[in-house]
Parts: sequence; structure tokens; C-alpha cells
Amino acid sequence: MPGMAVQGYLVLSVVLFVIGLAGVLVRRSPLVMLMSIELMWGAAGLLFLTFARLWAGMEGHIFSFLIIVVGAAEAAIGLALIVLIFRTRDAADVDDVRALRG
Amino acid sequence: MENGYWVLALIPGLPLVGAAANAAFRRRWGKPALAGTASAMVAMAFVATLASLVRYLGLESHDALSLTLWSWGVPGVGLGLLGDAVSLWFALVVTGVGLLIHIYAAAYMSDDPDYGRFFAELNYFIFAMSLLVLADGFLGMLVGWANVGLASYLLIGFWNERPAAAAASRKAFWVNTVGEVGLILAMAILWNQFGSLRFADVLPQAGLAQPEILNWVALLLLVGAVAKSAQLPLHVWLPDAMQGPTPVSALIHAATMVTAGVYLAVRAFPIFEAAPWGLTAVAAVGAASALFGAIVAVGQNDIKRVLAFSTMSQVGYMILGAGVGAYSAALFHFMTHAFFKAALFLGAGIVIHHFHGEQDIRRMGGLGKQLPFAYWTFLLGTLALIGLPPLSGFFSKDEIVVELLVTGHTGLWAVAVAAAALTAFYMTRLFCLVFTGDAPAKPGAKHRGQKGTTGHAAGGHDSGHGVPALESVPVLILTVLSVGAGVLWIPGITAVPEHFLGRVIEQYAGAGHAAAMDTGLAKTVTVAALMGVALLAMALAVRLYGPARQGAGPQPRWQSVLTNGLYLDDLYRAVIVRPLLASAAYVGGVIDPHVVDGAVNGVARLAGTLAVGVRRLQAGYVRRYALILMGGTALIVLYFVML
Amino acid sequence: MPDISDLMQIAPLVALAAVALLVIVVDLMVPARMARGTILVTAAGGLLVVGWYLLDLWSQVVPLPEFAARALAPFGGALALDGLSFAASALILAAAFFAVLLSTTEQARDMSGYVSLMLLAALGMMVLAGTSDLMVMFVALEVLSLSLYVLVAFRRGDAKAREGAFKYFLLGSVAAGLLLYGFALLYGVTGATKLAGIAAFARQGTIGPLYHAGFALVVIGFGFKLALAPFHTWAPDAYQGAPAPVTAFMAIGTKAAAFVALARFVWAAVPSDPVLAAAYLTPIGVLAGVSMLVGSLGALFQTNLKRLLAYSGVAHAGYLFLPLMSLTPEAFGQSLFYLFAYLCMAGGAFAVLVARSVEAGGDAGAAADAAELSGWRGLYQRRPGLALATALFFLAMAGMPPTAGFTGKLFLITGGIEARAWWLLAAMVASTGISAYVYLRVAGSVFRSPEAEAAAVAEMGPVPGAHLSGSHPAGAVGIVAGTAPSPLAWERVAVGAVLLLAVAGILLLGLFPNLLLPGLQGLLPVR
Repeated sequence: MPGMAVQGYLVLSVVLFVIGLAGVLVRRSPLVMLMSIELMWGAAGLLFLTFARLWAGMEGHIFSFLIIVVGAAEAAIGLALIVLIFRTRDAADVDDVRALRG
Repeated sequence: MENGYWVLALIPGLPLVGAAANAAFRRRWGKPALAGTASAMVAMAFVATLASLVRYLGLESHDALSLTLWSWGVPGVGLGLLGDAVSLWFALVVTGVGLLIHIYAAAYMSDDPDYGRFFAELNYFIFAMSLLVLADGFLGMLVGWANVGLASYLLIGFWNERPAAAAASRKAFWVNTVGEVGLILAMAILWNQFGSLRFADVLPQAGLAQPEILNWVALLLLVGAVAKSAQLPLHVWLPDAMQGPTPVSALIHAATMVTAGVYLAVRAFPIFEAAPWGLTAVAAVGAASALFGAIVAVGQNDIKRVLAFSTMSQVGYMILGAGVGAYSAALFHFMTHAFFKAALFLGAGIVIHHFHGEQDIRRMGGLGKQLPFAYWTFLLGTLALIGLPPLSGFFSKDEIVVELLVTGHTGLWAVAVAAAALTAFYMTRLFCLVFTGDAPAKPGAKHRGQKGTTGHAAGGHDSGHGVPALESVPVLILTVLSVGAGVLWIPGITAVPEHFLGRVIEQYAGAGHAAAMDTGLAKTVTVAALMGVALLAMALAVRLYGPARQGAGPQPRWQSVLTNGLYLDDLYRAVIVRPLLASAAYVGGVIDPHVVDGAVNGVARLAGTLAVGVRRLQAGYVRRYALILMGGTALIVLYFVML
Repeated sequence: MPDISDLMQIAPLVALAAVALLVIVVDLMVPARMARGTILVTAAGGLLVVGWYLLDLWSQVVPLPEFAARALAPFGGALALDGLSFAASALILAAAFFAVLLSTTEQARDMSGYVSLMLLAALGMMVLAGTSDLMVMFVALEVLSLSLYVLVAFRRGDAKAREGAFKYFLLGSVAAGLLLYGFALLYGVTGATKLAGIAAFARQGTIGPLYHAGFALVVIGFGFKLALAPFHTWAPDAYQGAPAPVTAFMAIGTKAAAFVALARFVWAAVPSDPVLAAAYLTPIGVLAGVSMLVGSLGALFQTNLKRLLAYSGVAHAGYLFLPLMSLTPEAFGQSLFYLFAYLCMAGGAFAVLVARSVEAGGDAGAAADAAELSGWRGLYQRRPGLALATALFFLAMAGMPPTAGFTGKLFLITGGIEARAWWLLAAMVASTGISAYVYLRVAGSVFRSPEAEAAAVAEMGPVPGAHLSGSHPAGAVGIVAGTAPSPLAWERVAVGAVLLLAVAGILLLGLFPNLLLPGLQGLLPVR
């Protein structure tokens, strides 16, 4: 596998990861934040797949499957929590949730 | 080494039992039973100490009693008791003076609703203090060390419904924690270096470690000693600690606990001697504290605060003695100081009761006629503290100061003499203001503190009916001891402390110091100097604050010339007294509260500001938390990528 | 292929998973009125069985001659059953046992789900502490995290619990993303997901920026679970929102598992080049030092005990790293000893908290009130035993001899001196000084008479956010008046058992640390 191609995937993965990070920081909608987090996980999965090709081993593939499965469970719990908190509110804004502080 | 001498375990053990009994039955037992149990336990501990002493005297010169309680499975680490000259010397005073103060407190605290708690805590203190001095290693000593700190915290804050007492107790505990951290660090280094924490393993080979490491150990040990013994700059808790009941001030904050630093300095002296800066640092701290405490005491008006700063100054003498190798003299001064300072504090308690909780000496006076007992005992205690022959304070202080000259520390000697002059001045001032002159119109008209304060402090004594026997007998015994203890060490005739304590101190080589001056000459010079300045200072103080201070009124001119001693008074006033009072006011009113205490408070305020900052960051916004998280991440990843 | 002996070696894990499922089955089969008790007894009994399996396995490993051989590596090395994982598993099981006993006071409607999740979280922690494969590490971390997210939010109708869980979840997922990215980078550089492979690379390979970055991200990911500052922000909020038994479990179990995983990872992944190794350890030390200071400062003015314990946990997590700076096998023993001490101190403190909320009526509101420090005044007058235990726990945290907190701290400092980590020691000194004040405030307040409250509040200084302490008077009145409904006696027995175990642990480990020390020596083969 040519090195150029690996670098391309690497760059794409970093870009996705940073988009995810930025999304968590700047967006106030809990759902978009959750999506941003999924983007970060996806970026890590992409990185694993890239390196799996590079090393021609199975570990990276297995790891990316694990990320998908665990990510799904994570999203389920996250959505449940978001519904629990925000169904009684008009707007889903995470900045409203600050009863605990100090 | 005689191992397995179980009587040693009784010395800390019985007071612990007493503490438990008092705590458990504090509601069910009557006051006589509570106080009786507590005092009996301390009395039996005193007897056990005497028994151990007799047994110890029967041993070979370098032998000691010991008792291993348990080990940690690691060689050299564990809890054990050691009965040698130094520890028994301390244990005698702790249990002996402790017993007298227990008896005194039985009467003094008789109106307090929390009688049982008081005696539980007092007994607990005796347990912790005797563990401190009897432990056979740094570990056990630290266990006692921390527990006396806790006992001191509990007893300073005994009247914890008073905010001042609660704050004072916390301050004391906090400062002591600083000292403990120093001790723990020193212990960790010692363990790292010697693989043991037992005195018997560490001290003989103290010189084998690297000098810079020993410097650190000595410095950290000194931090512990300074914090516990209220030396500069960690003395800030001691004046505040006077918020505790007066028997507590007498026992813990004058006679015993504050001398734990002296114990440490003497016990670990091979480390201090082997460390290049060790003894110098000890002596410097001691001299500075001796002078500082004496200066501040001149300007204090609260009877207990005068005595507190005086304690700081006197403990400074002991530390100073330990810093120039005069270990026996330091411990002798510890003993005599325990006698006369306890007597003075207990006397002060009687005075405070008499004035219904009034502690300001400017509002006292004329007590000599009303309470002759307090007058005479306080007078003898004062004279002993000033160090007039043939009272005990003369011999013990003299030994230290002479040693300064013999070892060639002329500068420290001058400081010690100056502090002795100040001591004579402020003690005479205190005595004159309280006992001479006219009685205030309405004793105790102005009650200090909140409601409940005076209820405790003033007790139910009728000021006209003298002093209860339970209070007067301990004071009497302590006064007799402060007068007579000097016979133990009359130069040229007896030298009990030197012979007795020498059994331990002479075990380690290097204890001898080159004499810079002939001992006889040094003695003559020192005695002359000490007596001279003390008498002058006393005379001055009597003139200023003595019976003639009030009611002088307008006088005929010729008479005023005479009473004023041909205007010599004015000269004294201008040349000596004004500068003295000004410096006392400056040190006591500016440096102590604003610089020393201010530094401590400043640290506290800094911590408070930072704490508020930490809580501000935690503002509840999850996105801010994420920002903090990612900021930290960015910094760390950046660091690693830059590698 | 895994053979039968591999299965025998994961017997504790299998048993724990089985118990976690069994409690759900039990809930279905037992009549509703007996369900709660049966579930809790099943869980507690199951944990004892798991502990027995663990000891049995340990006793097979310990007599093996060479220390390097004293480790089992079932499933092709996916799990690492060595001294470190055994000790950590014992710690986690003890924490889970405490948490289950304390949970007897919880009024959760879905008790089997609650207990099952708690046991699954314990399973995740045990696996996390006992694996040397990045894949298994990730899955174990998520098993414990997902269970805890749900557990924090378990109180129905409690807005604060939900909020705490949401924050924990959101930040935890971000941190997991960072951790995953770090794993991916390490895999990319080394081609291995097993720590052995990474360690081999760290000895011989050419180490570049990608490896550095991967290491950094993994440290951050575990640092988050350990609540090292500045990755601690979730901890106070999540601790406050969660039910007290869950908080206790999180504080102790998660800390132990994440610390062991991080230590194992650092042990393997730090390069052998001494200069580079020092450069790798420096930021970890900085994190630890900052945690000590932030933790003790954050606790300084707290009026809510759960938040106070959260911040104090941050500081304690920092202390654990003192000996680790030397990367010697002894260091792990010193840190683990402190974790055992922390188990007793924090477990006891949370048990007192639970006991107080039982006293106050046991519902969610009472539990929230019980965490407010102002309601603790005068506890000595009402419950002297409980007050003395409280004082013991907090004085132990302050490092008062002769308690476990003191011996633990002594070992940590000794380790720090061996590591020559002077500035970290300085940070610890500062932190100890500050937190002594914190713990003394708690230990002292139980002996204060309630009337002194007003004066004490006035002197406490600047307390930002007075809103934090708004809701207590009603609860305090209820306690004083004794109007609380009397809960079942066996709940009190269970909480009392935890208190007794914690007190015994603190005193035993303080007076006789040799009970535990030999078992904690040489937990890992030499690097």
C-alpha cells in the first residue's frame, strides 16, 4: 500500500476528529453534541482501519467493529439521558442544565 | 537493654483507660467519680513512672528499659516504648505536673456541664504526651505527636460554642499539621537512608549519611519542633490557644506539649550535630524566639497572653540550649519551667476567677490584700521565672546562658541576657499591675466574651472566700517545687540532671564541645550580667507599675523631685522605657499580627482565593467542562508532540 | 484456541457476570414483596463467591517459583492475571460489596436492574485492571462507564441525578474518544494492540511524534476516569447527583481500576531511554500535582459532603502517583496500599452519609439533605458512635496516625523520595496542609452543638454560591424531632457492617500494615 494513501486517510481522520471536538465545544444542542462525539469515535475507527491495512493484521478490523458496537450502546444510553432531561423543557440547550456547580 | 518491662506500658495505658471511662460514663457518673477516675489514672501513671525510674537507675549505665508492642513486619519499624533518662525525665514531669493540674481542674471546672468530656480529653492528652516521650522510634513519637495535636485541638476548642475558641483550635491544629508533614517527610527520608525508624538504629549511625541529606532531615525535624513548640515563625497559634480553659493552658500550652520540640531536639541531637547546619539552625530559632517572645510580652495586657508569650520565650531558651549542645541544661530548664509556669498559670486562673473572667491586667489591682495566697505563690513563681537565686529558674536558666559563653556564642549570649532583662521587666509589670495598687472599683464590671463565656470562666467562686483547697494545694506544691528544684543542680555541689541525662547523651560521640572560655569565668560573668539586668529591669518596672502608680495626683514640687528620684525616672523613661514600650508595641502590634501572623493568614487567604477560583471554574456548564478538558488535552498533546 | 484451563482462570469474571444476570432472574421468580431482600442477598452472596474464586486462583499463582512466572495469561494474553490484577480485583470486589450493602437503603423501583448494573460495572473494573490488551481495555472501560452512566441517573424524578449523569456521559464519551484515538495511534505506530508488543516497540523501535501523541491521549483518557485535574470537572457534579452507594463505588472502584490500567500501560509504554522516560513521566507528575492542589482547594469551602469527597478524591488520585514516578515494582505496592486505605476511608465516609440519610427518612430528598454539612452539627449528641466513626474517617484522610491514612501516606512519601520527585512532594505537602483544614472542618462539625451553626457559618469566610446550601432546614428539623419513619432493621445492620469493616480496616491497616504489605510486594515482573 503506497504511503501517500495512508497519509490521506490519516489526514481525513484527524479532520473528522477535530470537527467532532469542535462540535462538542461550540454546539449547544445535546443531539448535535452526541453526533459530534460519534464523529470522534468514527475518526478513531477510520484510523484503526487505515492502520489495519498498513499492518495487514486483523486487530484493527476487530477494534473498529468493537468501536461500532460499543458506540451504538453509548448512543442508546446518551439518547435516553437526553430525552430524560430535555423532554420537560422547551428548548434543548445544554447550557440550561447547571443545577450542579461549585 | 532490658526488654519487656511492662510497667512502661502503664504510663500511657492508664490515662487512655481513664479517657475511655470518662468518655463512656460522662453522663452517668457524678463529677467526683469522673475527676477521681481521671486523676487516679494519672496518679498511677506517675507511680509507674517512678517505678520505671527506680528500675532504670538500677541498670548499667548505657542500658535502658524497653518494651516492644508490635512491629510492622518490616525490621526497624513498629511501635515500642523506651525508658531511658531523657524519656523518663519527660514522663516524670508529664505525669507529675499532669496529676497536679488534674486535681486543680477538678475544682476549677466544677461548674462546667461538660465535666466528663473535659477529663476525657485531658486524660487523652496525658496518654498521647507520654506516648510521644516514651516511644522508641520516630514512628511512635509521631503517633504521640499527632495525638497531642488532636488533644490540644479538642481542649483549646473545649468551649466550642465560642467562635474565637473554635477558630483558635483550628489554627493550632493547622499549624501543627504543617509541623507533622515536616516530620513525616523527615521520617520518610530517614527510612530511605537508614532502613529503620528506631532511635537505637538511626541515631548511632546518623553521621554516616550524606551531609546535605542530613541538612534536609534536620530542617524538616526542626519544622516539626518549631510548629509544636510555638517558635518563630510558627508560634502564631499559641497566644490564640489561650482561649482554652486555664488548666489546659497550664498543662498543655506551658508545661508539657509545647516542650515536645525540645524533646525532639534533644532526642535527635546526633542528627542535628551531624548535619552541618543543624545546630546552628536550632540555636538561631531558639534565640530569635526567646527575644521575640519577651519583647511581645512586654506590650500584652491579657494576663494569659503575657504568660503565653513568656512561654514562647522560655521554650526558646530551651531550644537555644539544645542548639549549643547544652542538652542537660535545656532539659533542666524544661523541668523548672514546667513547675513555675504551671504555678503561674494556675495562679492566673485563680486571679481570673476572682475577677469573674476579667483577663485584662490594666483593670486589675490590689489583689495582694484580698488573696494573700495567690499573692505569695504568684510572687515566688514570678521570681523563679525571672531567675533570681536561690529559686529554681536561676539555676536552670543560668546553666543555659553560661553554656552559651563557654561554647563561644557571644552574640547568642547577649541575646539571652537581653531576653532575661525583658523577662524581668514584663513579669514584674504583670505582678505589680495585678497584685499591687488599688483594687478596681467594681471587680469584673466588664465581662468579656459572649453569654456563657463568663458562666464557664467565672465559675461559682465567691471572690471573698479565698481559694478552694483542691486549687490551692496543687499551686502550693508547684510553688514549692519552683522554689526548691534548683537544689538538683547547684553548680559545684550537685549536678543531678547532668549525671542522669548524661547516661543517654554521652552515648554518642561528638557531644563534647571545645570550650572557648574558662567555665568559672563564664559563670561569674553570666551571673553578674543576669542578676544586674534583672534587678535593674525589676526596679524599673516597680517604679512604673508598682503601688505608687495610681493616685499620685498633684504633688508639691519638692516632693515630686524626691518621688521622681531626682528626675532619674524621666531619664529612664526617655532612654529605656519609651523605646522599649515602642518596640514592644511595634513587634507585638505590627510585626507579630501583620508580618508573622499576617504571613500565615496571607497563606490562608491565598488558598481561599484559589479555592474560590476553582469553584468558579466549576460553573455547571458542561461545555465549559469540555473546554477545560480539551485545554488540558491540547497542552499535554502539544508537549508530547514537541518532544 | 482457548482451552478449559483458560476458562478456569476467568472463573471469577464468569461468576460475576453470572451473578449480575442471576439477580434479574431472581427478580422475575421471587414474589414482589420479597424481591428486594432476595436480590440484595443474592448479590452480596454472589460477590463473596466471586471473592472466594479469586482467592483460590491467587493461591494457585502465588507459590509459583519465579516471580515472572507468577502470572497467568489466558486467552492468548488478552488477560493478565498477575499480582497487580489480583490485588486490584480484591479491592474492587470489596468496594462492590460495600456498595451493595449500602444499597439496601436505596428505594429504587427496579432494584434488580440497579444491582445488576452495579455488578456489571464491577466486572468491567476487574477486567480493566486485569488486561494487557488495548481492545479488552476499551471494552472493559466502556462496560464500566455505560453501567455507571445509568446508575448515576437511577433515581427516578431526580433532576440533579439526571444532570450529573448527562455531564458524566457527555464528557466521558469525549474522553473515550480521546482514548480510542490514542489507542489507534499506538496501534498504527507499533502494529500491536497487546501491551507486550507496545513494550517491545518502546524498547527497540524508533519513537516518533505519533507515538508520543498516542501515549499522551491514552494517559488523558485514563486520567479522566481517575478524575485527575484538569479532567476532573465531571466528578463533583456526577458524585453529587448519584445515589450515595453508587458514588462510593465510583469513587473507589473506578479509581482503582483506572489507576491500575494506567499504571500497567505506563509501565509498558514508557520508552527505555532514560531521558525520554523522564520526559514521559513529567506531564504525568504535573497532572498529579495539579490534581492534589485543585482537589484540596476545591474541597476547601464545600458545604456538600459528596462534592467535598469528590474533590478530595481528586487530590487522593494525585497522591497515588507519587511512588509511580520511579517506575519500580515496589511503587505499585505502595500505591495499591494507599488504595486499600482509601477504600476504608472513603467507604466509611460514604457509609456515614448513607446512615445519615437513613436516619433522615431514606428518600431522595432526605439523602440530598444528609449530604449537606450543616446538618451534621450536633451528631455527637445524637449518635456518638456514628460521630466518632465520622471523625475517624476524616482524620484518617487527613493522615492522622495511627490510621491507615497515615501509613498509606508514609509509604507514598517514601516512594516519592525513592523516585526523587521533590516538587511533587512539595505539592503533596501543600495539598495536605490545605486538606487538613477541610477534613478537620468535617470531623469537628459533628462535635459542634447545632446552636453554634450561625456563628460558624459567619466565620467560614467567602462561600461562593450560597445556593448550594439551600435545602436543609426541613431535613434537619425532621432528624431532631425524630419524625423519620423507622426503616427496616436489617438495612441498619448492613450499613453498620460497612461502618464496622471500614473502621476495622482503618485501624488494622494503620497499626499492622504488614497484614497487607507482603501481598503487595513485587506485583509486576521487573521491566
